[in-house]
Amino acid sequence: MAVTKSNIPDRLAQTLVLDSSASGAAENNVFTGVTLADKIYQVVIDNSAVGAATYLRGQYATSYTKTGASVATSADDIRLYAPANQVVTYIFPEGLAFTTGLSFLATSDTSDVHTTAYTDPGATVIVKILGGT
Amino acid sequence: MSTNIKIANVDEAGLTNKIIKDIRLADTSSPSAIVDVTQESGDPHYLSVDASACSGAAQRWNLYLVTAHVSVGSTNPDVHIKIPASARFKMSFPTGLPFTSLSASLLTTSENTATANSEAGANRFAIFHAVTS
Repeated sequence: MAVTKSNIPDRLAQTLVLDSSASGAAENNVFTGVTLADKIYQVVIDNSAVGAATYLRGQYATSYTKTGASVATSADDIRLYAPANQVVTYIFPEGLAFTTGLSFLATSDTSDVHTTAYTDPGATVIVKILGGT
Repeated sequence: MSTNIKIANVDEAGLTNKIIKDIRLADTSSPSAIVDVTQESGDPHYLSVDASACSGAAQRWNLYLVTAHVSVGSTNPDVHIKIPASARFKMSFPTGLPFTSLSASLLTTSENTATANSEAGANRFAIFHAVTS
C-alpha cells in the first residue's frame, strides 16, 4: 500500500490523499486529525481492475477500529460503493464534515462485525480523497 | 409506500429523469425506509438530505443500490454517510453510480443492524431529494 499526500492551493480543498493500492488494511488518520482537513469534498474510487464491488469504508477517528464478534460499537461513519470494473466519483459540493480524524480501508465486505482482517479487493483499487478546512 | 413521498416521472416529457422527494424519510409512523423508489435500474445524478431540523443527533444516511428487497437492520447498506446534526448534505455523481434498485433509510446509529431514528421519535424529520435517470 502506498499513500501520497499533496498540498494544493488554499481556498480550494487543501489536501489530496492518494492511496494507489487501497486494501483491507486500514490507512489511519490520513488528515492528521483534522489539521489537514475537516471536510471531504470529493472521493474517487478506481475499481476498474476489480471484477467485484468494492466498498471504501471509513471512520471519523484516528484509527479504524474493527468491531467484536457480537457487537458493532465502532461501525462506519462513511461507506462508499464502487461497482465492479468501474470508476466512481462522489462529489460533496458543500463538504462532508468530520471530527477527530479520518481512517479508511477498502474491502469487498460490508459486514461491521469483524474479528479478523477485512477481505482485500481482488485487484488494485486506487482511492483519491480531496479534503479541506 | 409512504404518503410522504412524491415522485415525478418525466419520462413522458422526453427526458429520462425521475425526481423523488420524501419529506419524512425516517418517519416512525411509516416504513423506516423508502424501498425501490424508481421501480427500475438507473443512475443517480444528485442526492441530498436536509437534516436541518434534526438538531438532537447526527443522521446516518443509508443507500441500498443492488437489491430491491431491503429490510432496514438486515440489509447492509451500500452507501452510508454520517451527517452532522442540523446539517444539509448533498452529493452528485459526475461519472455515474449505476444502481439496480434505489432505496434509502435514515437512522441515528451506524451499525448495520440499526433500525431507529431518535429524531423522528421527537418529530424532527429530514427531507430526502433525488434526481435519477
